[in-house]
Amino acid sequence: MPLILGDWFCMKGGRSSFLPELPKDASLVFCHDDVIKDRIITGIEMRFATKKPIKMLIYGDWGVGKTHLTYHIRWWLEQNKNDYPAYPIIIEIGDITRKSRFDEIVRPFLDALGLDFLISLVHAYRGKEPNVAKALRDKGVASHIAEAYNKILLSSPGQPPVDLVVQSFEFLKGRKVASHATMGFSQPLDQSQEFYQVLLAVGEMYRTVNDGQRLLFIADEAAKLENVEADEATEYHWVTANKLIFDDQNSSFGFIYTVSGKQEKNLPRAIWDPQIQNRLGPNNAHRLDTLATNDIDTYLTKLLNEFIDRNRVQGLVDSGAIESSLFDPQTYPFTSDARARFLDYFDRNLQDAKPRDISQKLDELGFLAGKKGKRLISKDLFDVLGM
Amino acid sequence: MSSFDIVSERSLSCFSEVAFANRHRLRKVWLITPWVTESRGRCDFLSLIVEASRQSNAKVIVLTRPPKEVWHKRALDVLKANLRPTVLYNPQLHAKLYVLECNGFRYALLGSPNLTHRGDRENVELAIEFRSSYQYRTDKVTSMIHDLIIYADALCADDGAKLAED
Repeated sequence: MPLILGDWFCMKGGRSSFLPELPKDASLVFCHDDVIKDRIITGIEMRFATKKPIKMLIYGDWGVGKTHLTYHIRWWLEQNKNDYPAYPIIIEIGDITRKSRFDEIVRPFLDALGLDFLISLVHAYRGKEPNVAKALRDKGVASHIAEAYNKILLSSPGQPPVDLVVQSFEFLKGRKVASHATMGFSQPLDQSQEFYQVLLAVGEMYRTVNDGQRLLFIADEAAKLENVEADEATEYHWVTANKLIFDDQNSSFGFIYTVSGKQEKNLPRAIWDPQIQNRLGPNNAHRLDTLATNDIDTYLTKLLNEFIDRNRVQGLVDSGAIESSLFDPQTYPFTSDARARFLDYFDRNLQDAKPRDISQKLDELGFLAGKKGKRLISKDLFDVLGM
Repeated sequence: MSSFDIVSERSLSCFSEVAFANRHRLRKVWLITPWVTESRGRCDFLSLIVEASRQSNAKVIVLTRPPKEVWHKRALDVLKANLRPTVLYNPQLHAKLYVLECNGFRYALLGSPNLTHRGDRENVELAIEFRSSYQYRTDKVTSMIHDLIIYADALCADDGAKLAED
């Protein structure tokens, strides 16, 4: 039988690893409590108190928990939707080259929403604003973009979209539409303002239809945007788009970027240009740090308390599968001295004291223990891994 | 516990990342290096050291050669502008030693790289790092770090080392 880590260490709920899973574990917070509760959630509450959309930048080293945090924010908003109504959409930014433009972000957001969603939304919007194109133009959306949204009315909610509607959807995503002139489309969207307006329009329609509730676009892994710095015009394009997003004038939709970087100065200029910083404001940029000594212990304790089925563990102790003389319920799955060594390893290597690394090391040690037929992680295994 | 490792790549980035990660408990930093430059691009070891030291209000001691080149002066200016380092000059200096003293943790990097961009990214360099969470000389590595700190202090107190007047 192959070794299954989750079974071997009595994990709950069919887990197979000590790594938290998303979106399943979005509700769980094992670390960064102070930043999450005191700064980020408070920041969200503050934005709602002032009737402003959520705008935020979250940065920190690889593996420190930024993606988990975005899912936690989404979970928190869903739990508190009556008081803090918002519709978060999370995407991971794809490959970015020196010439990539803002449609690389707009496209996955529209895909995540889906054409069916847009068809329903535009129809619902027409119920509030009979002339969709004019209403969008009045909100600052350019005519050709407003018209593309207007064309979506040609399909009915719940019905397969007609070709022109599919073409409109592709056009809004920045794609070249075949025979664009005969179908009434302009040249493919290219300008930063245009892509911003695509989001503005959908954000504005959603807000109107849903009594002020806003879309919240969350773009993960924006570190890739450093690639556009190789091309000055492209970088300027991104700076302009992000200025528009984070400007107070944009009250139609919220936006969160996560970026990998230890310090602010490591962040790509495309999202950390001084003009963007100025619009975002210092209180809306949050750093997640690698864990400090006490936080490692807390992370480990909370993680194991959540993941381990204590009754099953006790069953193994009672049956003799786990040697009772080495077993300590406070330190399981470690022996007590092995747990101390695990914590000491990360204390000596705080630059690696990140949730992902801690869980991965736990997986590696657990796998090694399992391969040796051991139900407990003991000190001798650390030498094998050079810990 | 204590440990040691060979560091053959980006040793200064490694040192600065350790400093940065320990900034909540950093007390003292020794930078003993004939040459110092600012780092380039996003891998900015000097700014990580500066931020770590500034946040922890750590005492920073820099022993280097008297700067004659603009880039050397500029790097020292970065340190002086952001911290209150004790800067000492020794024209004979050839040793390279970087030490962090933290509450409950000590780290030393000893080897060939100067605190320069080339030393971190371009040259073929070799260093050994020592880490210890022991408070006392309970083992060889911890003793080694202790001795390196004594050596660093002795170098700084040596007659050949002059306090920078600027």
